[in-house]
Amino acid sequence: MNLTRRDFIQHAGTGVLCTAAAGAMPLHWAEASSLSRQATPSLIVIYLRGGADMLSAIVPYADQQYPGLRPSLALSKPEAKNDRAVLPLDGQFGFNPQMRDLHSLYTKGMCVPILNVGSPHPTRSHFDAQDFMERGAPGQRHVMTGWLNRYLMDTKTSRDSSLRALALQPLLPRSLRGEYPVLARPDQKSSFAMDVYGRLYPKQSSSTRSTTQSAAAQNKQQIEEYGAKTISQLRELNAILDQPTPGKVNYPDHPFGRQMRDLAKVIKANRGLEVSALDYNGWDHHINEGPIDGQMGKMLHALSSGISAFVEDMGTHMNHVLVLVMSEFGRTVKENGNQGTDHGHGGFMIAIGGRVQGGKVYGQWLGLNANQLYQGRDLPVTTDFRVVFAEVLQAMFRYDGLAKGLFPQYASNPSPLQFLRSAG
Amino acid sequence: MHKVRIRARRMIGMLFMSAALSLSQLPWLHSSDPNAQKLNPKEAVAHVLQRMAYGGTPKQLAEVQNMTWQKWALQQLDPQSIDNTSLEKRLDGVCPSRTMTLTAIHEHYAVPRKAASTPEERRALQRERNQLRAKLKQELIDAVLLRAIYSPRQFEEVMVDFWRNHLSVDVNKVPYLAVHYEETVLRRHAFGKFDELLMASAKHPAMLVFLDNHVSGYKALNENYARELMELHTLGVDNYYTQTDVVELARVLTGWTCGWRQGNKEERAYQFYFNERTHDRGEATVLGLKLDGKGGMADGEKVIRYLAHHPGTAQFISRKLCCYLVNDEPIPDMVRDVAEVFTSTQGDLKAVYKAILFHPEFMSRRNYKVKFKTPFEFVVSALRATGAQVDATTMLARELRLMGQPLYECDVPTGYSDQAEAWLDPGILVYRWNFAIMLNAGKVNGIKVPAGFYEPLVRMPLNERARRVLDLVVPGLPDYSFETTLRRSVDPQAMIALALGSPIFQQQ
Repeated sequence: MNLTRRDFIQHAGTGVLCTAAAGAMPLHWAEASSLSRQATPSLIVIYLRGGADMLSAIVPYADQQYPGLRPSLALSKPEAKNDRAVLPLDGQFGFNPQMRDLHSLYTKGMCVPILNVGSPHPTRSHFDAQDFMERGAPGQRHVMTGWLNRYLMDTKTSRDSSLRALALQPLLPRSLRGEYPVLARPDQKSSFAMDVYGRLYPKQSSSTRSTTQSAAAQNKQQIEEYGAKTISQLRELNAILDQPTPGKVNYPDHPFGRQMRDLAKVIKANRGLEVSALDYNGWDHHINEGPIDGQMGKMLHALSSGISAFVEDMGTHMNHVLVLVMSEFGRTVKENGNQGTDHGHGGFMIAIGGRVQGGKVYGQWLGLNANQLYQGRDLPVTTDFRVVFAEVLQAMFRYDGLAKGLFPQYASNPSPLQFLRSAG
Repeated sequence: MHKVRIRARRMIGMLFMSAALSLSQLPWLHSSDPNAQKLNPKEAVAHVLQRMAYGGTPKQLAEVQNMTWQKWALQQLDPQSIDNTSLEKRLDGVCPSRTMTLTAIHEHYAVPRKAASTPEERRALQRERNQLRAKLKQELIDAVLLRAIYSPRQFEEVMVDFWRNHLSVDVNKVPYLAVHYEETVLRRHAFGKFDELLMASAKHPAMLVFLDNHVSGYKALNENYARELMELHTLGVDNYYTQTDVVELARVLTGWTCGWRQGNKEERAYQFYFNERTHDRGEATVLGLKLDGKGGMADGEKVIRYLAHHPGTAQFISRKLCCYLVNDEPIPDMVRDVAEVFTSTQGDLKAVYKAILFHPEFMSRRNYKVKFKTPFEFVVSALRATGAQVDATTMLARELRLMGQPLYECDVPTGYSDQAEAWLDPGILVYRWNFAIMLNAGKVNGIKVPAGFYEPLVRMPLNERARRVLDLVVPGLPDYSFETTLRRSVDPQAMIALALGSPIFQQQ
């Protein structure tokens, strides 16, 4: 049988349907210019899960050792009219040819790579490395909250937009988990369920919870509060996402591209989206890495084209947006026996936005000589990921994470890479 | 021992009263204390069924009420005394691997890696390997779910799930080992002695592989298992031990590994074994316990027993059990009383459970419906409340994944939390609402709520329906304000769906 709205309310007219209609108010699309005047800066973190191989993305083609270490995986030096050659950045490094769109952003000064970023902790376990990084607390298993969530919590005000932080995927990335309630968007059609259950989860007035209630009633009220919040946030979000995509930007038709398209919609709706994070899974290429035609090449292309469409869509508003791409660690410098690479140590990040200080490659590079490698096999970490996180929060939100103790047990006071200009 | 203490405390209470103190001067006795009122019999039954079972089935509510909750609880504390042959018979068909040895499981389900002469052959082998591995995993998930839903030994299932998360392994990392671990470690010892449970887990290949101890040797020390053994399994984080203890314990446990071995007389078998060649024979000191390094495997056994009986362990396990069975924030008095029983019985788990369930605090109103169901508890209790007939669990496994709790796939060694803070996120309720609707619309593949469940409701006068729905699905409601909302609907399916998705059904 089917359950319809009528089954849930026989006395329709005063009830559920009306509340539902109120949530679906038409949206007034803000013009890019008016958006920028009162813009909330937005940080978008893209997590490449699995340990993305830096040497196949940001290629050290000028390094003497490189071709020998990667007999089947090495890419060729920059060369005009060779679409399989790397795309030159600074004379030493080049982007993988599948990252043509990001390369063009690099040449416009809107995209910078950061080399040899990572964790001071030696783990090569995906889970540990991801946890440590997304919680901004290497080696500290007892820190359970994400670094972005701690930032949100620390700067929480009663005026926070209900869409201040969200993930456009069902599972909240670890960096966003914690005390600050962040919406993860369910991948099920939920408008019917929200209509049906809305009345059971009434909005709470702030003073209702008190000691005169039984423990059970207090618990119920807390659950109602979360339900009510879910409904109002989701309705607001769905109303934005259900709008047709304006403009002529063509987003690539893959899950990552669609996520970027939806994010752009939310940002352009001007509802105060400050932080979002999304997962891009599948970078653990032990076998047949395929930097151009294989698995990794296809994924780099998707990443690059998805971001580039987003940048185009954002237009001048990109001055208030930063996209930060990262992964839990890099991979072995030497390829393995299966045309792939194994878990390594130092990795990379890429920052895209109007505030990057473009035109150069950031991060200290020590070359590929065995004596410079970590444990003789992996890229060393020359930039602690917390240095990048701190600089990003400072430049985007004027939040001094180091002074505020955002990173537990992190005593050092590193100088920033200065890859970002501060908010004007 | 603890009984004496409880009696003493009651007497102190009475002394206070006889001293003619005005009641209003005692806040905890004040009549306006919303938690002061005792649970009525209906509430008591609901409470017990929510803590010692995954909620009641329609039949069970009356059953427990008739025999009194205390009698029912005592029976549940002795699972062997409850007949479960029909469920076991069903599991014989669904999960044959559960009675196999590790060797047999490997022989039946693990397709060996061998050279393939053609790419087609290689792909075919890989396909077969994936299929059989997936089948084995499915058998495990089926068994876990069917037992939770249907076992008449509900408390056993509730406690096995506690240990499943306390001594967690991820089936994806140990695909051929998990089902045997579930049977021979968790289920075998969940009502036994804690030290034996801990030892069984320490010697099971699933744990050794999940936490990397199988590759730990004196040349390449791996601290993973040693750390979790103290942090998660016994003492609790940074309780009593230091990083030095972690390294020392890891050294003592080098050589505890697993794999294919041939005994003197036996056949080649996949098993736990002690590898003297990778074992560190140096002296070691763990938590002040000195080991001369000559004991081999016995040294490790000694430390594990020492940890199992450590007062820090009694405290840590007791508190965690109280959190699970009573309240996310149990009162310290209760934890102390339970820890005393843990210590005095040398970790007799049955006695410890009993100390919790028959502690006066257990039935206190301040613990009534204060826990937020985990996704697993929600799904299983919804199926039990509706008497659902489960023919296939695929969709349930999928739902649990969406709700963030894929069974046996917790990739961190902490296991899934049973605390509200871990689950009460915006967004999460949507899946529960959708599930409640789909279940009652008959749209969850492989699962049917029998027509007989709704029929009595259909025949009932309209004005009685809402109350009946509540008594069925959320028995022991503290108040009936919810009835008004429910009365907006007259369709029994819709009413049940509403009740299952309501805030009160998320509580236990």
